[in-house]
Amino acid sequence: MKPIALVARALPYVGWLLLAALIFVPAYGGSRYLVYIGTLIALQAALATSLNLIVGYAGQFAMSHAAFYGFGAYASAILINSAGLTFWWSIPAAMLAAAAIAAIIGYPALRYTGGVYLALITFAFGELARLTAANWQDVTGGPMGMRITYAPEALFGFNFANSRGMYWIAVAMLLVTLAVVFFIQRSRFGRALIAVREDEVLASFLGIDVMRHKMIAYVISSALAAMVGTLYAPMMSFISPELLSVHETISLVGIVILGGAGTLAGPIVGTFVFLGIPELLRIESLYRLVVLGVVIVLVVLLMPQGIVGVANRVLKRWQRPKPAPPPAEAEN
Amino acid sequence: MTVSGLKLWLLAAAASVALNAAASAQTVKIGMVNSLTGPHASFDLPAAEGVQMAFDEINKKGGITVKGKKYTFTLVSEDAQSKPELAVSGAQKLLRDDDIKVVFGILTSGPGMPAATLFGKSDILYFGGFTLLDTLLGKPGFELAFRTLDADSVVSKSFVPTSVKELGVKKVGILLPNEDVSRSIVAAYKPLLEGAGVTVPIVEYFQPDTSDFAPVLRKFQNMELDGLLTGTNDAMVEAIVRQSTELGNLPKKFLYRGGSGAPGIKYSKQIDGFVWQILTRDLDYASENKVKEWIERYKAFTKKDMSPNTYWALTFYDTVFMMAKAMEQVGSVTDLKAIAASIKGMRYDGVRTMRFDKDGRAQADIDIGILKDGKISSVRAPFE
Amino acid sequence: MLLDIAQTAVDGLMVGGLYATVAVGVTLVFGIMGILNFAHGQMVMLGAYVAFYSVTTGLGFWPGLALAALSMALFGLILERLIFRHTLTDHMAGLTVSLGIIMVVEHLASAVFTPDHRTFDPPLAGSVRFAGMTLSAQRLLVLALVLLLVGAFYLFLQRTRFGKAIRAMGQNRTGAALVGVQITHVTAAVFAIGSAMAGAAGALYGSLFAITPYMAAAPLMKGLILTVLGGLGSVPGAVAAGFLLGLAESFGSRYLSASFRDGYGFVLMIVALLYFPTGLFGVRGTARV
Repeated sequence: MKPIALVARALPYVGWLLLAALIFVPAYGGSRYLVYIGTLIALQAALATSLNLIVGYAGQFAMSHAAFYGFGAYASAILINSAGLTFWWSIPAAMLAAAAIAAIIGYPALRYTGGVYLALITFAFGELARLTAANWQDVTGGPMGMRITYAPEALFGFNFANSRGMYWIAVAMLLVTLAVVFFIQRSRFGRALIAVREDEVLASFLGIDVMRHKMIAYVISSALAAMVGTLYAPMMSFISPELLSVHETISLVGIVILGGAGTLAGPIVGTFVFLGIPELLRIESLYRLVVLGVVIVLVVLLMPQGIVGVANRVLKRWQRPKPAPPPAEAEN
Repeated sequence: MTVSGLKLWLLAAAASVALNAAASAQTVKIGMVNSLTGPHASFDLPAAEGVQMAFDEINKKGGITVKGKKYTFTLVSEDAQSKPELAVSGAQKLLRDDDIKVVFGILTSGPGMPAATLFGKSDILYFGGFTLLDTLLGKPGFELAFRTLDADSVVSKSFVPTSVKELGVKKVGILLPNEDVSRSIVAAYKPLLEGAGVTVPIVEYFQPDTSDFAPVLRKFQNMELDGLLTGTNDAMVEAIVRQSTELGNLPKKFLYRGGSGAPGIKYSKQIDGFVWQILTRDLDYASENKVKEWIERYKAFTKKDMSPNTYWALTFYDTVFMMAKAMEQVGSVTDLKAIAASIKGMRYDGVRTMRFDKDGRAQADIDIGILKDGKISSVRAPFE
Repeated sequence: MLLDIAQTAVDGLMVGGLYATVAVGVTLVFGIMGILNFAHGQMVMLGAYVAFYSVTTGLGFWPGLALAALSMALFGLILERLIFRHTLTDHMAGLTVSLGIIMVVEHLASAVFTPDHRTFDPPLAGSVRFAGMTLSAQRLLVLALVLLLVGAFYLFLQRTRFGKAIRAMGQNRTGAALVGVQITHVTAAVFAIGSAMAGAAGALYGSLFAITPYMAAAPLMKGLILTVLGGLGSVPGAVAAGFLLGLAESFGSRYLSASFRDGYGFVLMIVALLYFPTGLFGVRGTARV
C-alpha cells in the first residue's frame, strides 16, 4: 500500500482524535470564555447533527428544528418551575413530548404530501409554535420570556451547576446525538433510510415501508433537538419566543449542507466554519457576515456535497489508486 | 500539546497580558457589547455610537483626573449579532480581559437578559438599556447594573397628567405591539390614565412586525374614543397614525409613548392632537444651544444624519460622562461599588439633566412635545 | 356590523393583492422553474429601497416603480447566471445558497441604507368614501396596480409564444427542450421576470408600509406559502391564494387576536395542504419534489 493510501485511511481517525482532544481543551485549563464557546459549539453541533438525520440521511426537508429546540427549552423550564421536576427528569419528559408532537405533525405531512410540502407544513408549525409562545402569557410569559434561575442538579457527586458542568452536559448531548446517528447509519434501518432518500419508488419496491422510515427519522431528530434545548435554558438564564424562530432552522440547514449532508462529521465541521469565520476575521463585524455569506455560496457551487463530502471523495481516491466508483455516501 | 505544555502556554499568555496592562497603566479599558448587525442593530448601533462619541470627547480633552493622575479610555467592542447566545459569547470574551470592569450596551431584552445576568454574576459595572433590565434592578446581584433609558413607571407620572390636560381626552384606547415593553407600559399608564379621570375601554396588542394595521384599528372604531395611546417606535406609530386617518371614525388625538414628534407632525393637518415624550431633548426641533451643538458633533462623529433612534445615543452619551465624573469624585477607576454609589447620588447637568435612583433606574427630566391645532410646543416636566 | 364585515373584507383584499404580487414572482421561479430562491424576499426589500430613493431624490414614485422592477430584473439575471443556474432544482442547495445571498444582501443593505425604518410619501394620500365604507386611497391604487400587473402577466403567459414556452417548461423540462424551447434562455428570462415582480411588489409595499433592511422574511414566507396553497406553478391559484390569505389575516386580526396575525395564514395553509394536497388550483404532476 502506498504511503498516501495509509495516510488517507488514517485521516478520519485522526479527525476523531482531534475532536476528542478539542473536547478536553475547555475542560482543563481553559478560560470561562473558552468553556462557554466550547458549550456553544457542542450544542450547535449536536443540534446540526440531529437535523442531519432527517435532512441529510432521510433527505426530508424539515423546517421545524428550531421550534423543537425552543420547545425543549420551554417544556423543561415549565416542568421544572411548575411541576417540580428535576432538570434531569425534565430531559426525557421534554423529549417524549417533542416526539409525540413530531408524530402528530409528521404523520399527515409525510403521509399525504412529503417533499417540499413537508418543508412548508413543518415551517408553518414552527411559526405557530413561536406565536403560541409569544401569546400564551400565563404559561410561557409571552413576549416577556422566562427568566431561568435553576441549574442542573448534582449527579453522582459531580457538580453540574457551574459553567464547566454545563459544558460536560453539552458534550454528552453531542456524543449521544453522534452515537444515535452513528448506529442508525450502520443499521439496516439507516441503509433503508438512505435508499428512501435516493429513490422512494425503488425503495418501496424493495419492501421498505417508506412512510414509517421517514416518520421514525423525523420523530428521533425532533426529540434530539428538544433534548439539546433543555440545556439552553439554564445556560442562557433566559428564554424568549425568538428562540423558536425559523431563521435559526435556516442557519442550521446551512450548517449541515456546508459541512456535508449525510455525513457524520459534516455538521461538526459546518458548525466550526459557521461560528469560526466571523470570529477569526479581523474586520468590521458587518463585513464578517458578508464574507461568511460569500463562503456559503462558494461552497454550495464548488462543492455541493459539502466540505466533508468532498474530503471523503478525495480520501477514497487516495485509498484506491484506480478511479473509484461513484462516491459512496453516508460514511464518516 | 500536552496538558502541562498547554498550561505553560497559558501562563505565558497571561504574563503577556499582565505586561501590557503594566505598560498602559494610564488607560481604563471599557467593554462594549451591542447588536451591531441583525434586526436589533437599529437600536444598538446609535447607543454604541453615543458611548464611543462620549469617550472620544473625554480622551480628546486629555482624559479624566483621578487622584492627580490622568487616565484615558480605550474601548473594546463585541458584536451580539442580535442573538442571545452571541451576546453572551461577546460578554464572555470581554470578561476574559481582567482589565475590563465596565461594560456598556444592549437595548433589546432577548440578548440583554442573559448578558446582564452574566455581568451581574461577574461583578461588572454594567449600563444597559433593555426593558426587562428593570425587572433585575434592585435584586441581589444587580447592585452594579444601571438602566440608562427612563423607566415607564417614572416617565408616565409626568407624561399622563400633562397629556390628558393638554389634549383634553376622556376616553382612550391603548394599542401596543405584543412585546416585553408593552406589558410594563400598560401596567404603568392604565392606572394613571384612570386616575386622571379617563376611561380605558380597550387595550389591544398586535404582532410586533405588523405593517397593516387596518383590521386591528377597526376594533377601535365606534367606541366613541377621543384618544389613542400607542407606541413604541416611530415606524409603527407613523403607520398607525396614517392608517387611522385613512380609515376614519377613529380618535384623532394621540398619546405617543416614544421620543419623537415626527409621526404626528407629518400628519398634522389630518389629526387634532399628538403628544410625545422627549425623553432626551427634542432632537428634531432642538431649541437649546447645547442640544444643537450636540447634534452637530454627533453628525460629525458618526457621519450620519439624525434618525428617530438617535436619542438612544444621547442617553448613553450623558451616562458615560456621569460615570467618568463618578470616577473622579471617588478617586478610583477600579472601586466599582464606590463608583456605582457615586453615580446613584449624582444629579448631572449634561446635554440633559439626569440622575439614577437607588436601584439604578434612570430618571431624566423629560420634555413633553405637544402638537395642537397645527402648532408645536413643549412643556418641561420636572423629574420628581 | 354588516358594514364592518364588508370593510374588513375590503381591507383583506387590498393587502392580499400585495401578497399576490409576491406570490406570482415566487410561483414563476419556484413553482414553474423549480428553483427555491429564499432570497426572493430580499429583492422585495431592495425594490422598496429603489422606490424610497427615487421618491426622496425627487424622481417620483412612478419612475421609482419602474426602476425597482427593472433593477431587480437585472439583479435576478445576474444571480441566475452566477448562482442559481448551477443549483437549479436541488432544493437544499437552493436554500443554502440563498442563505449565503441573504447574508450578503442584508448586511450590505444595512451598511448602505442604515438599519433604521424608512417611509416615503405615496402618490395618493387620504381616503375615499364608497358605499358607506371609508377606504385608503393609496391602498385602492395599489390594488388596481396589482390587478393590472398580474392581469397583464397572465395574458403574457397565455397568449404569447414566449409565455407558452414558459408553461411548457413548467410542465415538462425535457419535453419542452425536445420541441425546441431554449431551456437556458427561458430559465434566465423567467428568473428575471420573477425578480422584476418582486421589485415592483417592494415599491408598492413601500408606498404603504415602513421598510427596513430586515423586512424580507415575511413577504418571502407568505409568497412561498401562497405558491403551494395556490397549487405549484399556477398563476391564478397564487393570486387567489394571496387574496384568501389577506382575508384570513384581516378577519383573524379584526375579530380574534391581532397579536396572532401571521398564525391565521399558517393554520389556513396546514388545513389546505392536508385536504387539498395539490393546492387550490393545482394540477397533479407539476409538483416537483
